[in-house]
Amino acid sequence: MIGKDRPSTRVGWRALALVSLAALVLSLLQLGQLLAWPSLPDVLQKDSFLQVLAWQAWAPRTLMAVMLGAGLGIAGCVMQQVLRNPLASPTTMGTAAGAQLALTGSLLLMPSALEHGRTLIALLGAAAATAVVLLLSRRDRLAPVSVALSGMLVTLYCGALSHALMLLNEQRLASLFLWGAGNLDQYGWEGLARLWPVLAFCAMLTLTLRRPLAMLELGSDGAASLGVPTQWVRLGALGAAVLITAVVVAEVGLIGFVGLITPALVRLLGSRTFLSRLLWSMPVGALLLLLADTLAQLLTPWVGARLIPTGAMTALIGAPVLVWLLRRHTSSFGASREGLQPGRHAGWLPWVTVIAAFCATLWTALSWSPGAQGWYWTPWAELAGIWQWRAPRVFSAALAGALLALAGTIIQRLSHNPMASPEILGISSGAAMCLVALLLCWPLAPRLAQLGAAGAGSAAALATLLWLSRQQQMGPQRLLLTGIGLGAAADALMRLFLSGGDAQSLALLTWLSGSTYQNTADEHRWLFFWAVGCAMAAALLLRWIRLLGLGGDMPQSLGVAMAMARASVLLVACLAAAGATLAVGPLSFVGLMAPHMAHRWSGRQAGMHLLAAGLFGAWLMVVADWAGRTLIYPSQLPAGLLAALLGGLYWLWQWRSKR
Amino acid sequence: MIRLIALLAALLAGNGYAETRLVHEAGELPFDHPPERIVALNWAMTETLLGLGITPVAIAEPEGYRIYANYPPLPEGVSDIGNRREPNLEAISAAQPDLILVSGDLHSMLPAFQAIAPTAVYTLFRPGQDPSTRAEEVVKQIASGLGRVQDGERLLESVAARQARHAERLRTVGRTGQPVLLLSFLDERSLRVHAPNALLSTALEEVGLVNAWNGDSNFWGFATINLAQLGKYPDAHFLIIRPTPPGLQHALERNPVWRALQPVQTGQVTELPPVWTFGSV
Repeated sequence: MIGKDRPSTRVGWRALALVSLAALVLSLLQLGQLLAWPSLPDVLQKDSFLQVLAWQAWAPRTLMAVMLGAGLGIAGCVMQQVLRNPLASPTTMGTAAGAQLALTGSLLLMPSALEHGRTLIALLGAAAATAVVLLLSRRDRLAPVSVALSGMLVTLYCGALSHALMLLNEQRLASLFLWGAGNLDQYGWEGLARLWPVLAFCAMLTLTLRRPLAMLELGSDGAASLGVPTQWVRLGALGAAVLITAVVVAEVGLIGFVGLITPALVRLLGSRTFLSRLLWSMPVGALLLLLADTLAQLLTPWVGARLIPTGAMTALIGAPVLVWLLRRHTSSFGASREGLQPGRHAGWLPWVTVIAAFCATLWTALSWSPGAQGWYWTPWAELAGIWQWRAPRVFSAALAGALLALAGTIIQRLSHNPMASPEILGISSGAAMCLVALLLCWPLAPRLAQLGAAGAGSAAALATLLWLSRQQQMGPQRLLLTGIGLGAAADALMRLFLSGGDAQSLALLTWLSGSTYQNTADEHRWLFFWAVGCAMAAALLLRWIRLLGLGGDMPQSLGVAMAMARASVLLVACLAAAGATLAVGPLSFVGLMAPHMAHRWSGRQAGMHLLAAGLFGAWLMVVADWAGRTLIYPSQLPAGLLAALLGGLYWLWQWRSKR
Repeated sequence: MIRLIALLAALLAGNGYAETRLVHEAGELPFDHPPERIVALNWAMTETLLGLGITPVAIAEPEGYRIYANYPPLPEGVSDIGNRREPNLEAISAAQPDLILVSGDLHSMLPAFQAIAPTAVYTLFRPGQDPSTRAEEVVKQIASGLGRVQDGERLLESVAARQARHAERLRTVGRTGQPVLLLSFLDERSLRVHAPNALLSTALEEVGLVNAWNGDSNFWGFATINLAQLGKYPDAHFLIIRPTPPGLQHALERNPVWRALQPVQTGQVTELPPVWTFGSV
């Protein structure tokens, strides 16, 4: 079954043995650190505190890491087998993020349900998120990178919502952050006792299904002709993987990437059959998580005054692996053939309606609001006074929305991928990473410095992207892949940072969730000039945008210097996204949604599409900002977050109407 | 005599001299008569005002203050101006304040506040400064600026007297010099320990207790640790700051490591009433 005679495999096993040894040594080292070396002999003394610590804290935690690692290894292996996709895993499929969102939400809305139905709630969230990812990527026949892209989107989306829910629950923030980043601390054996029956059941289920699962490699039709009920096998196996993910998240929080790396490592070790991959996924996953957990604990004394969550550690290791895997599998990138569906051309009447609706929304946002005595239209005489607070926010929201929509439309047209957006391009991630770095070095950095850092981060990400797009062969999909990798790395860093749970993490969280609160100064004026500049550049490059959107060799045959054209068009998109990100945070998803909303009626023509998308983007953000200011008056919700919520609702509704 | 002084003061004020000057971090605010409608944008300022016997017209998150701090207690009828991170400008303006008290965390928003009413900035946590001395200084500045010098002195005296009383009580039971750990539980596995540079800790030291924590701490004077790390302090008395997360008591009773901790076994654990741990004197 396992080719023991192949030299590369033998090297692989030796490496595995070495790593196991290292894990063992590190784990013992960590025990020593926990107990303080000189008092080590006390462990043997009965009922001493040290013995309790070794037996009730270190032992269960170590065993927990081993068990969860094995479980996640199985989950990843099974997901990859079922979807025939080397990029599938609980992390990349949005499964874990969905479970986390469900748990965070129920903590806020109905905490009593958590005491008994914790696993069930996590399971519902995990299953829903996975289903959404599968539905989103079904059009591309579940092509690996397409699944990864939808998974990333859903993960980002769930993450944004979880963060927002945490903001509403400020006093429990620190605890939520720790749990959200994967906290493996164990005291006593209760957690293990809860966990092992579920994990054992899932392992048994997948082992029982090993034959039909292996036959899936013949393709659906081939397997079906051999009498395999493929749909049921897939459903059962995927269900087991989702269940494992849900219990892990419910017990210890997000432990990312173990399920992704493990099967990749096992394949590298030379396992050929599904059974051997499944069996080896357990020890390899266990080893991985044990290593990550031990490292996190060993490093904790060195970072000063905070705990290193295990999940942050695995993400730090996992992000580069994800990038490497993505680059290996670019060839199987499933660019959807048609991209956006051609919409019908809109006459002048719909345009007038939409513009009128936009103006009405603007007016409402500026002058209708709750006060101490309930909702009221601000009287004419008081408008000037009130507008000095509202107008900058409304206008910067509108401008940022339009900019994001512009960037999103360009990127979607260029990459022929309706799932592409500035959030995924890595611009926002670059900005977020630099901001984190700044706040780590300078806790009370003023807003100007924060904006500067975010700008520098966007610029760095942009430079990377442009450098990549210089290479002739590089299609737009490569850019998206780089973006996904950057996003994963930024996520890991942010988790590490947020787990400190102090005022700085709150500042970061506020920016992440897209608050327009501080946009009162002259920022909206700068944003206005920025937007005008980007719009003019887009107008100048309109021909290229249109031609590049045709795809294939068409532009080249029409005499367009591809690399040059693509770089300049991308530059405009990135600049637009960077400007907007500074104003409304990285995760509003307006850049994703607005082009779709616009496309339904603006037609296929690039200029009209850009214009309509800008209008819809601005409209979405204005509504979001207004709702954020008024819904829970006098407290406020961040606009970026509400835009994400509104956009998500629209997305779901559109899905329903398409069925 | 007092009347004469009051008359003189009124005359001086009438002559265009400001009666009081409120000194704060970013300058001075002159007032013809002490401001009465005061809005406090954080809980430390709320505590200070209430300690001086002044009821603010509006504060940030009054409900939260009642749960997490509430000393001195907040009277009913104080309106809400939104959360502490993003106090609502429209709500502040609707409260028609003649003075706004903020901390330096919101410095980028100062122009917006100043457009509504005179704004005074007091930051308790500044690098290289003992927060306790700073808090005392802030109380003095606010008291004199609001024409409440006597109330300010009384407040500081009562704090000092209370500390002396506690110190005396500790001395009588022979516990002076007792090492303590100040703990806020995040959940049943992780907690914050307040380091010697925390405001609360300084108060402890003034009554003769010793903060036993010798690890790192962050800018705000706390460290996030897990339960196991408490084992390094077998001689410390645990002071647990309420409110604790729901179900904590129950979870700790079942936690073998917690039960095995020396201070827990000898009953050296006390729960403290809610204190806003980044608060004022």
